[in-house]
Amino acid sequence: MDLNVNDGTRLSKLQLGRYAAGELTDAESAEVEARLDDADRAWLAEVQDAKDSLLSFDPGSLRARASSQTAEAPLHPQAANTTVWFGLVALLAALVLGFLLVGSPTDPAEIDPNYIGARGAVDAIQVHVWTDGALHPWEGEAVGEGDRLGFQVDATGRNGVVLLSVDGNGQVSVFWPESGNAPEPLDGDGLVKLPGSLTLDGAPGPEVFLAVFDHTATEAVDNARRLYQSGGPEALTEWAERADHVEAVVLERR
Amino acid sequence: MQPTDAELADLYDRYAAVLFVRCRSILKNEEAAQDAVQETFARVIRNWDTFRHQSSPLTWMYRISTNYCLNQVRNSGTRRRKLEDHKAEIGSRHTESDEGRTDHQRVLELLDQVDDQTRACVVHTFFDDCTRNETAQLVGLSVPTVRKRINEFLDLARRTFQAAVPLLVALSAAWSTSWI
Repeated sequence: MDLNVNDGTRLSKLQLGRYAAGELTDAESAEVEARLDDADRAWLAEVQDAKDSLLSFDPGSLRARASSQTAEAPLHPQAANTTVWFGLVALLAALVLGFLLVGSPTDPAEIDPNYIGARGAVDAIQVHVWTDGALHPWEGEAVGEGDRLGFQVDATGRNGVVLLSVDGNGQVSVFWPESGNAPEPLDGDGLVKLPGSLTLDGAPGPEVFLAVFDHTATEAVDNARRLYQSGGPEALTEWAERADHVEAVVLERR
Repeated sequence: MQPTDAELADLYDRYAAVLFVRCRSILKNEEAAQDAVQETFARVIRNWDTFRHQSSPLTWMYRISTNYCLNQVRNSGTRRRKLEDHKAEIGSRHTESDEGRTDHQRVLELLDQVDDQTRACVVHTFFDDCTRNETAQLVGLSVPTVRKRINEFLDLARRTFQAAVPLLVALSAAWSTSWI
């Protein structure tokens, strides 16, 4: 059965769209006009009405969006050259000198005592596990199907976050934001709890949870998927190490 | 090379509304459809050297927006599966009812189980009411392959829903008319 697949006896929406956009020649347009039925006219009217609903044309915003992906930091090593190496040595020397003069930028007393995460001295993504009726800091144990997790992220200097995971099958799942493409808004500074919790399915591990700050869900998912396909979980953790706007935590699955 | 503001404005005036109506019919969400239109035009800018030589800019935009919309659908469906318990315990922040979206969501979740090219074939055939020739041109496959992919999807739908024929006929009709 064809389920009424268009056999060419009626106009497709692609043809109607091309007609509405003025892509057709005069002869092609005349042919379309001769074949319009009530449904076609209704669709064309819907397109006309939609012009009032559209976001205003904003070339600056479109250009910014166009450049936001191409401006993403390169995710594979660049070829080294002598000038770059001299520059890096000079920078490293300056950092060491600065460290010796100023001291550690991180005062241990300011670190939340509940920070235990899996990466780095100050963790921008923290996992909590539901046990005995409450969420407790994750202590590195393997997690499994049915386990309930909560998350906190460091909102300092950040406006929004996409929290997603890539499991052992390479399946990418977005948990925050719950819908739409805009990141989950973050208010204030320091650790912020993401609303609610999630319950794990039976996917294999390791499962890499990523907090991607101030980028859309689509950008975060596309990059995560691409990196996993090219280099597995290690590529994701390397991304987090390299990019300021990405944090990662790896959970082993039972 | 980049388009001028005047060139972009002309494209936006000609194509944005068509794209918006189409994306809205796939995503069933006005905000998401607006975002899909913006993303499509951003990609026009990024790929201007390729785009400006297209004989049918709309055909190029259909390809781009199809992939984007289907990725949005895929992300949305995945989110819903895992956050189900979470919503039930703390209460949802969203007011839309699940009931009216069940059939739509079921078919979109089914699309998530097939490969990208098959998904595109299904969208162009049932959402855009394209002929097989048009679908083949949009997806870059031969007509026999398009026919095969559609039939495979319908077989999957029948096995999954056990009443897929009337379901898909009803949905095809629903998507062909106003989205509201």
